[in-house]
Amino acid sequence: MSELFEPLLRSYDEKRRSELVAAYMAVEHAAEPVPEVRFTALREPALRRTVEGMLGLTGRTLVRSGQNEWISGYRDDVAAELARDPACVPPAGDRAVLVLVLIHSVAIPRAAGLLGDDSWMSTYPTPLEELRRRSQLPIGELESALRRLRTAGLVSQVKAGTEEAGGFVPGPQFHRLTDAARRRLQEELILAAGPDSPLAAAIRARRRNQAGGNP
Amino acid sequence: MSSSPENVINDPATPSLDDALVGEAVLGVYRQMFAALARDSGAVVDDPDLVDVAETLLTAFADAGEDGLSREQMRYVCRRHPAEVFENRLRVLKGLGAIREVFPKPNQLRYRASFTSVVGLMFVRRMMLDGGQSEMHRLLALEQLNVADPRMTPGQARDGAEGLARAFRLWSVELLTLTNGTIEELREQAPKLWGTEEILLRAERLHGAILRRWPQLDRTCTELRAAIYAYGDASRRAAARLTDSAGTTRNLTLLPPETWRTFARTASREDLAAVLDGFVFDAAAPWHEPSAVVTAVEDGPRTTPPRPAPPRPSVPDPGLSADTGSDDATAERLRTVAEQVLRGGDRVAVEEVLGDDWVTARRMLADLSAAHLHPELPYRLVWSDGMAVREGGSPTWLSPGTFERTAS
Amino acid sequence: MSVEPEVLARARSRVLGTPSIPASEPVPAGLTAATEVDGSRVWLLPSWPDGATPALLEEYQTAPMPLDRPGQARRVLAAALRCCWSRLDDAPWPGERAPLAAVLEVYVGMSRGDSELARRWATGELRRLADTGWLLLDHDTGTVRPGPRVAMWPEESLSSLRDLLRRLPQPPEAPGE
Repeated sequence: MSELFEPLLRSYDEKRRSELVAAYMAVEHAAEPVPEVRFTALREPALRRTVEGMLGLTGRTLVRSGQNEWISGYRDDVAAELARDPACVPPAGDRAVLVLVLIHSVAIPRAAGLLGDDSWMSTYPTPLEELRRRSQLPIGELESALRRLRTAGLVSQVKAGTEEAGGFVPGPQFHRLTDAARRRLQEELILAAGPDSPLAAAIRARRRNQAGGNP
Repeated sequence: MSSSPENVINDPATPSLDDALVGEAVLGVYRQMFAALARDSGAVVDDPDLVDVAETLLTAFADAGEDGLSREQMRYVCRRHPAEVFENRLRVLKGLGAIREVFPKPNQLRYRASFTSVVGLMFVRRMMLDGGQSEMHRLLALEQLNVADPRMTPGQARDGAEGLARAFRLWSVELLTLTNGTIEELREQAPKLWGTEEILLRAERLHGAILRRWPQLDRTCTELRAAIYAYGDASRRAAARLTDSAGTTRNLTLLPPETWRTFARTASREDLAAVLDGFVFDAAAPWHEPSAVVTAVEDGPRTTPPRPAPPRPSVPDPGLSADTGSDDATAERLRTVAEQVLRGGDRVAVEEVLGDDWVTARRMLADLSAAHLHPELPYRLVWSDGMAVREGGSPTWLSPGTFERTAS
Repeated sequence: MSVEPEVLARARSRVLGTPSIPASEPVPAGLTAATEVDGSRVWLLPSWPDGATPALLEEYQTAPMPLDRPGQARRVLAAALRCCWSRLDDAPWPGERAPLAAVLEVYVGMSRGDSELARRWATGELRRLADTGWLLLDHDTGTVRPGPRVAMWPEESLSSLRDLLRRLPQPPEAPGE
């Protein structure tokens, strides 16, 4: 169907080749990071490097999750380049709602010491009511944004149970952020919510240094 | 608070680990604060419970008003503590003047508490909460006022400036020590210690004011300035170590929940959206394999269940039109229908609210199920298994169902 | 150090889903092209190695990105294809135009339910299928066509789908006669 991967796959026998393809398709399309025990091509470092090479052809890279699970995401340089293209950036309304979900589901529970894992996933749903009542976003916009975010896997909906209220948490796409992207997301949130904090000052200073270091 | 009767009843005598830690923290601050006054290192209490006795007593005195408390009443509010602990504390508090004996009538012994001790405890609690940040704010504000006071002498101004310089120096040392320690401890303690831009600004302003009025204090002022800078530097170092530390969400703890909430509530769409500038995500791209399409049709519902209970969508589906402006109106209409049906109650059997003709019944069912599906409306349709026959009704058979209000 | 343009173009097409470019522009290497009927534009689709599709995940007990009501979405897709992929011996892409009303009618016929409700669900589903490149909707003419993503179906995977579509209810009026 395509010659794109041929140079990387050519030298492997049929078995290896199908293992590589399986691992590639899995990390590209799975909802969650996939365990390497299930995929030879992820378990063996040499093959994993080939998978990484295949991903690189489309501007993607392997993202490790935990000790031995993998998923794919955009390479940092590729993401930075794409983000300059307005067509590639979600509409402002969608991004705003997503940021609210990140604050309510991750930042606040974390600040309150409720989240254990160092991850952008959360078990604390943001109630729709909170977004409706206590944000500057118009309700109509909220709902259509949430619908789009959900379809894209940027948020997941948690259904209301008998006890707990339902709401929205960051979706499976957040598994796909590279370490650098995750760290930058944390920094952007801190810069936005606490611009006067010493932490924000340190972030700005470090960015200035980096910008000065390699012009 | 620990003296309220409910707590005493529910609270087992052994404090939890958390209690102990909080208690230790109080004591730590307490010891540091009164270190300057202590005769020897054993002169400050070493058991958090002992502070609690004092606090319990002072709270009870505040509630008791001018009558004060009798010895029995004091013992009662402290009943959680062993008699000997209580006696010992009472003796010390009396000895130091925190609690005084009064004789409102001959042969009647009552006790009163000192205002100063209450203020002292408030101070301790405050210091514990923010490690002296707000105290420093207060001090700086006070000094600023003093500097403007015509009665202020250069000597007093120098003392004030030297005191502040000392505080800033010690503060920096503590921060630097933490910065060189473990990242976890730094993350926990730093927000109480590091300087906000505001504290640094205030300090600089004060420094300028002193220098303008008493140029002869330039030496002292240089010291103060150096101390302020050292403190600013220590704050930056601590923050830098934290931003460099491993972890991709952990630093979110460094802003208090209230800061996050305020931002979420007040930020404009553009400010919120800007956080995600520079991030790209995948477009939704679900895959439908031909064989999966075949399976979906073949396994699909061949006959229609007589109940409108499809899966619950997240948000109302506006259909082909992208216009969502009518969502509100729809929700309002459904709410009205639902409330008419419930008539103030919390649930109603579906069969009771369906009319006799199929058209009306169908419309009602459609509305009730739409209300059920609407994520913001607090209603639910619950169907049980089995079917009931409604003779003469339309439809003539129906699963027993309930339309009810959900808690939300 | 800048990113190679082809790499960037491939990544961009994943960000955008199924972007299209004027047919006059070259198709970036490593992407599959689905050309519009009139030849004016070209849809860019990903290339997967060795004819694999995401259906491969099933063999490895690995869940794909979650999808609401996949069964319903696929039944609506089948109903749409019944109408706009009428020459079943050909490939499904580019197919023909069919009125939306006909698709809804076929879907209602397939589900034999409360037709009003079925129509409503199907309408939302059609929009989502269009958003994700499986159908092309034309709001002005009220018509639907197969979306470029169907061009990614390997020919050898289509026989059971063809059989199925032959068995589905007839659209109310034959399109394009």
